[in-house]
Amino acid sequence: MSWTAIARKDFQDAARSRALWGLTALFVLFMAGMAWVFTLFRDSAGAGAPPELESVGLLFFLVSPVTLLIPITGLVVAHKAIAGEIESGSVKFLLSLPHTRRDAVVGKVAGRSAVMSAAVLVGLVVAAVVVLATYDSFDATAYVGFSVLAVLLAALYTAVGVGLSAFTKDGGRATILAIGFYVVFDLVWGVVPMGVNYLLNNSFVPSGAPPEWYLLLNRVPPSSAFSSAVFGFLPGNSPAVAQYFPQDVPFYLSKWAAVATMLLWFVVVPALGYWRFQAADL
Amino acid sequence: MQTFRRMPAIELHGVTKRYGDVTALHDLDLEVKDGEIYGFLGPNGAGKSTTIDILLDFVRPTSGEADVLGMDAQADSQAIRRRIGVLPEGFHVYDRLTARQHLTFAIQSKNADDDPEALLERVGIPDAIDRKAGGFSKGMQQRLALAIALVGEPDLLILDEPSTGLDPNGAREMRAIITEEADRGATVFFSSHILEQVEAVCDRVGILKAGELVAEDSIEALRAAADTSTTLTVTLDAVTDAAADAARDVPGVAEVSVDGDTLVVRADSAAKTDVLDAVEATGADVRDFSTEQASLDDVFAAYTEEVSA
Repeated sequence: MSWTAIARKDFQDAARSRALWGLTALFVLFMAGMAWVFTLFRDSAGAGAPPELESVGLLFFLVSPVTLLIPITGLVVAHKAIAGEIESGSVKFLLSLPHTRRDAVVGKVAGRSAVMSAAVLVGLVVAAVVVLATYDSFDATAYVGFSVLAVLLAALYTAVGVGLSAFTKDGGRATILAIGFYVVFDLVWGVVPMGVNYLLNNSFVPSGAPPEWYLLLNRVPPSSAFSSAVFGFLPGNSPAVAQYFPQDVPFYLSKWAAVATMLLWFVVVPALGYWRFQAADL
Repeated sequence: MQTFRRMPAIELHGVTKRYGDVTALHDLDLEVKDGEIYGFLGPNGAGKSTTIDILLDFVRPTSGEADVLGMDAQADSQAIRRRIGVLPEGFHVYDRLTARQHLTFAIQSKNADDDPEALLERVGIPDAIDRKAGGFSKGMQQRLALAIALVGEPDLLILDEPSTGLDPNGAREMRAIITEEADRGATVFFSSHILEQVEAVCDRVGILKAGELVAEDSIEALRAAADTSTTLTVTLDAVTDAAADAARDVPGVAEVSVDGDTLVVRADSAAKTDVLDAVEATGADVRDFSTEQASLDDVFAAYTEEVSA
């Protein structure tokens, strides 16, 4: 279990840097801040009795900011994990000890994911305190479920960052790969299903209910898989999203398929990175 | 096959490494015997680090075979690295980790039970144990790296330019530790581009130049070669091509170079008078001459520098 030593060392290294503390502060401010901002929406709801302030509503409210913040921070934390060690020369310490290159990749994924997960969890716990203090209801099951998915998303993007960093020996190139991944899967992926639809039907947006392949393609990016899982698992789908999250769906559009997509990302990118790394001359 | 001879600690057969169209190592054969201290000498860029990188499986050879402690350097790399200690060249410490954390990591990685304090005591920096290694001087980082290499009483120590960044005192302490490790029974393979660092401790020396082993012998044999080599400096009234050619033609002369009105001749000691006679026979007037015994350094230089005739 030689990767555990690497994971522990990597976590210690990060814990001594200001990065972990800065990251934790960021997530605390962000999650707790969002929990508070959400109360303002209720207060500004206008005439009539204000709707109940529900924690589940907050969770839906959190989805899109979470899918903005976690991917960026995860990639920032991890994107030089391997390439940076090769560039600086510390990898020569690491690999002159009896660790395989696979141990190095697995250990880095574990260590850095732990750093990210810790920061996200602390943020969620502080937000839960805000919710308990100011909200009318607290659905603990939903909150824990959301937290598990958010931690999985954080671990996933960290793993993607580590995997990408194993593709190259150059720290600058590793940064470009991480930015490229973010641009493709988090910014512009939306045009891919539209493009395919254009080729098939001569129109960018499907008319009527979107076909199943269109929905599937939409869920490929990690953040979309996360959103799909959240909408699938949390109670109370609004009619507006029902079109994109139909009830009777083939297995590949189920909520479990969304979780499986996340797990696939978590495994596949580090595996590809390892495949390149194990063949490289250091 | 089991033989009575002990297995060599390091064995390279026909190892070639090319990077694109640059050949870093060319058909290298090398054998380091169990228990010996082997000095791997050569100028910077000769291929010493590439050789060590192949032993550690950091780099894969283009062709040829490398064995360490009787195991394949590529297939059995992890098993090899459990039993060796390495001081890499061009390494970088983990800036934010303390010396103790570095050593704890190495001790855990090797399932050893060394005491970090004792190790740092041995390499002369016990007071730095809880300081972050990022603030260490190059010499202290080198000492920390040596302490890491010593973790787990390795059967083989591979030290790449171990004296880098050390002052003369530190280099001496390094040599003392190398000798202690060899006395314990470890094999030591260490590279250097400076001869004096290896001559004091090595049983055998290999000299690498442009990716090829150009000499391999005991220090005694190399020293004997040095003793038979003399540099003769002859000052003439005027140096002519004829005088230089005449000197070059004398048997036992290895090299002749012209420096103003002097001829510098490297030759066997016995050829001295023949050289003077031959030069005078061309009509040149010998104003002055002196001889100087070659040092081991000159032998090393002769092997590793381009010969300028």
